[in-house]
Amino acid sequence: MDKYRLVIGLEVHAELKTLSKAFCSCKNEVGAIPNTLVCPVCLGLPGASPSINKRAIELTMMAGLALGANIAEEIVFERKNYFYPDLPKGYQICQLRHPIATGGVVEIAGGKRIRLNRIHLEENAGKLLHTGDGRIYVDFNRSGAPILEIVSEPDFSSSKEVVEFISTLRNILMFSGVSDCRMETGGYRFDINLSVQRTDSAELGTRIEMKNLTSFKDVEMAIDYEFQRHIEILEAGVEVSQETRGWDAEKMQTYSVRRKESENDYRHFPDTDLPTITISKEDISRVASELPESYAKRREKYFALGLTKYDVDLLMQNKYLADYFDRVNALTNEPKETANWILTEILALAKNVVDMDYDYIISSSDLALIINMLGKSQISRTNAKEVLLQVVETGKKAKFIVRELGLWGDVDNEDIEEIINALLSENPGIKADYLNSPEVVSNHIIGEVISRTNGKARAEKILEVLANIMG
Amino acid sequence: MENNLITVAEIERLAEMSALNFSDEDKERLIGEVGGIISMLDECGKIKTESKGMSRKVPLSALREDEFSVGLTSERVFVNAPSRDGDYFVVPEVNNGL
Amino acid sequence: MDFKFLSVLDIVDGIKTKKFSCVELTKYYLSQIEKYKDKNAVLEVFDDALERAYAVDSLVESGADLPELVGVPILIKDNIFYKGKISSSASKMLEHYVAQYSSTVVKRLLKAGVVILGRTNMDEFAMGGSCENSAFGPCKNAHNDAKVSGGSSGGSAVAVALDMCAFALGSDTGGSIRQPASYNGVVGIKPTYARVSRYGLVPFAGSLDTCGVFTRDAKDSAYIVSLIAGRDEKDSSSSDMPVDDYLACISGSIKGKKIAIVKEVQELVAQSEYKDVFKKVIAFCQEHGAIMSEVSIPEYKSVLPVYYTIAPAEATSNMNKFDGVRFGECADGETAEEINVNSRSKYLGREVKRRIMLGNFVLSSKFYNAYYQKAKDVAALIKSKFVEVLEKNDLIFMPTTFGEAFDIGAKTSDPVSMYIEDMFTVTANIIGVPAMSIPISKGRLGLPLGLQILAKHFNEKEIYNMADYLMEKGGEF
Repeated sequence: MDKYRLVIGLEVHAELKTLSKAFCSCKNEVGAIPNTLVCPVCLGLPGASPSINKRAIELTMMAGLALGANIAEEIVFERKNYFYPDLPKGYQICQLRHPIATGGVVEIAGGKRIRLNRIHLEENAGKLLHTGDGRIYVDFNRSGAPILEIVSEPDFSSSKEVVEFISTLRNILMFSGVSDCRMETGGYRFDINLSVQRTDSAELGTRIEMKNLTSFKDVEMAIDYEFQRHIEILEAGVEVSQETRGWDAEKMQTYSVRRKESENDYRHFPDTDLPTITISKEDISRVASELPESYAKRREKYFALGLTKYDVDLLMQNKYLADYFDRVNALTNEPKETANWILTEILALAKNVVDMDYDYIISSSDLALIINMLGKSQISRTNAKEVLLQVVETGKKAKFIVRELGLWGDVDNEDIEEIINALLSENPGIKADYLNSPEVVSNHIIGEVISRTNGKARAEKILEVLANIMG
Repeated sequence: MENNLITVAEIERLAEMSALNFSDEDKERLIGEVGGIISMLDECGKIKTESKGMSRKVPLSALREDEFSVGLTSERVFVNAPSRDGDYFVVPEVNNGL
Repeated sequence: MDFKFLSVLDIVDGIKTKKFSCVELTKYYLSQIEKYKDKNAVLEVFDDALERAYAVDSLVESGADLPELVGVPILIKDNIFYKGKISSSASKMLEHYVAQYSSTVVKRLLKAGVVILGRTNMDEFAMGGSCENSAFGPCKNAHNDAKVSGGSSGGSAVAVALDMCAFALGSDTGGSIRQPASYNGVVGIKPTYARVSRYGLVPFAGSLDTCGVFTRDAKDSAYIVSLIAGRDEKDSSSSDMPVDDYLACISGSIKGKKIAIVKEVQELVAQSEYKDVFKKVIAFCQEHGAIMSEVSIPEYKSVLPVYYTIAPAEATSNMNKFDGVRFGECADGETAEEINVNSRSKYLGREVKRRIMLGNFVLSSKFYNAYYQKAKDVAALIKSKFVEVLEKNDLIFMPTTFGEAFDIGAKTSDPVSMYIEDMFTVTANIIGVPAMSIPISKGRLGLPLGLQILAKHFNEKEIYNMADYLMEKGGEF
């Protein structure tokens, strides 16, 4: 048995998918020109008053429902007071005593259930750009954007569990349409509370706090680093000091951060600019009815389709990917083959980027066409891949490429109709000739169509379509 | 009027939370002033209360719809700014940032 | 033309019927401002005031439809935004702050045709009850240079008392309109909380702040408040209750009106000059058909600690935004923290700092329940008691202050003695009801005394009816 045990609790922040900010009507958007999405409210100018975005509350409720939490009947916004150059009002509007949701649970791999303490809504701060020469450039576009905070109970005992949790949670939030959880822009980030205790003692260890980690890797390394650091301190018989520590991703180590008195006591109190909001049972059922198919249900559905755990894990790492699979599979009804194509060929073409709309690579209908042709043995696997590559390269429709490559197998009536129509427009006289001597013209057209389909169209089909066209 | 809750240490704690600097002389003065005021505030504690203080209540349906509108023009954003560079507000680095 | 002490209604009539021009009137008020410069009531006369007066006169000449307050020259308190103009809240911190938008009250008044002459002196960030906390020097009482004008809206009260404008805007968080109105002998109303939009008013304590007006009579006040009250989308807390035509609600009778006086309040002024005045007012009202009764609210005295807990708590947080990053004066410093601390220390005044400290004390996690939460609970209790009284009565009468205006400098070194002056005015803010101070008598030194009239939430009309009756039929008591 190990001598020491890790105890970890998490606070996870995720940007909410709203059109406007939480307490003003400025656009909630990442990537705009700095300080262009601001107004007196989110700039913290005097005399402006906040106004709550209903959608932000509904999305937080939705997250709560997706995580099995209880939704409060009354919710209150409070002010958390502290000074920082990215915090324009000198306080952050957040929730402490009456959060939107309490409780809830997330099941991670191995069936361990991580209990949640609360889920609430708060506002984001602005963005600081450190020039490195002693100055900070401040952009308030993000100031006042709605963010979700999810606080776990101290249920984790390893960095691995934490990473599994934040990865599963991310999926749940994305699949419920609450947040895009964009990690590259800090839209999904973590605060870690950690302590180490002796396994042979009931006494709790001293807790340290690490704030604002933005990647799974940092989380894992920071926790492992701290675990070792604590063990070394304890082994030396010294006491661990309660403090806030930062993570230096370059040096791969943590460091002590001095906290001011104002950060040790945030002096939360109700924001009297904002009313208490009452949530009715009808509100809850309305929001629940809007909730997309849950993450867990979707996984079950995929297993029922015969996909392997490997496939499901990969597909469900991102909502865009899973949605794309659903669209293609609706046209192919070949779940395994479809999953293989998406998880090997498409992901490779996407250079393993998971946050994107895969229709930009190849439309779901074109990918379905290729898979279907392969399924009916109309093309070989090698040719199918060739078609895919050419579609991606040229941007032409799959059908066109197939024809161009002379791979057209059993041409269907639609194709024949297309060719005959083309012949008719090339030579408008044909129609009159047909009325005079149908057999001659028919033979001529059969020859043309067979030639244009590389011999793949059959004569009786051509006659049938031709008769239809000529009426 | 003095109040035993208000000591130099407490004045210093409050000053840090307030982001204010005081001379030693000011701190002494504040011990008396703030202490006196707090003694007056103690009156409240003597009153028996059962109900909790409440705030205005509003149903979820009454809140603002999620629609965005254009904010301040750039000129207005920066007009009162002490220090600006291009599209940004500028401040010196923080002591010990996170 | 004699412009002395024209009422707003007379001005509108005079301009509409071309008895006089807006330019003539504006010049008169500007000369009054100049004449009483030493009172320090007006911080700045806007350089476009006359230009706007000329524009009014051409509008009148054009024969166009004229709005409700056409050509009425006014002054605004220095914490109410008027786009493009400096709005400093009488603080060094905002000495050069240019308002980037107009407050809703200013917008509504401009739409109604007023000419804004300038901005008036006040206690810094509206924190104070004497106008001595202005960073730009105290404003002196309209009737005696040695006395305070009251606060925080002292400048507006003095300006109206000395005929520097037709009416003036103020703000009232704990008596900042009513107390200076009382000290200077003018009419000051704090409407119901949320009746008038707070958008563009620099906040002191958001749950208590109310915009209001100073006038020389009740009818003017009724007319103006009808125009500025009402729902404003930009202030999500503003009420959508329909606004009465207060002027039309002045009936000329107080018969059958039920008026309560609070025993515990009367006891507090038993030794003061208010004692006899109150007797006379009560006798007058009874004679004219009103029904007087005395009620008891044993917890009354706790209004002061309630107020001085809640208001500084909110204020301290509101003042956090002054950090030298986006606006305001910015002191030197090597780091962001230093700039913040140095700017605040250098550019905020003594009283403001004191209240920030106090607010941080009552909000500290170790004192929160004993002070802040307790004050909220007591506030709820007091509110329920007053609501009960107002369910059975139309109005409550109280003194506005303990007596006449006190000496400049008398209370500056003793904040508690200064705060006690607010004993009668903070109540209406805590419970959110409308309250007005009207000049009712003179004290021993011949300085004005005000009577405070409180009514139910959104029942300004009862106040206006009573105030007008007392002023028109009662005169000086």
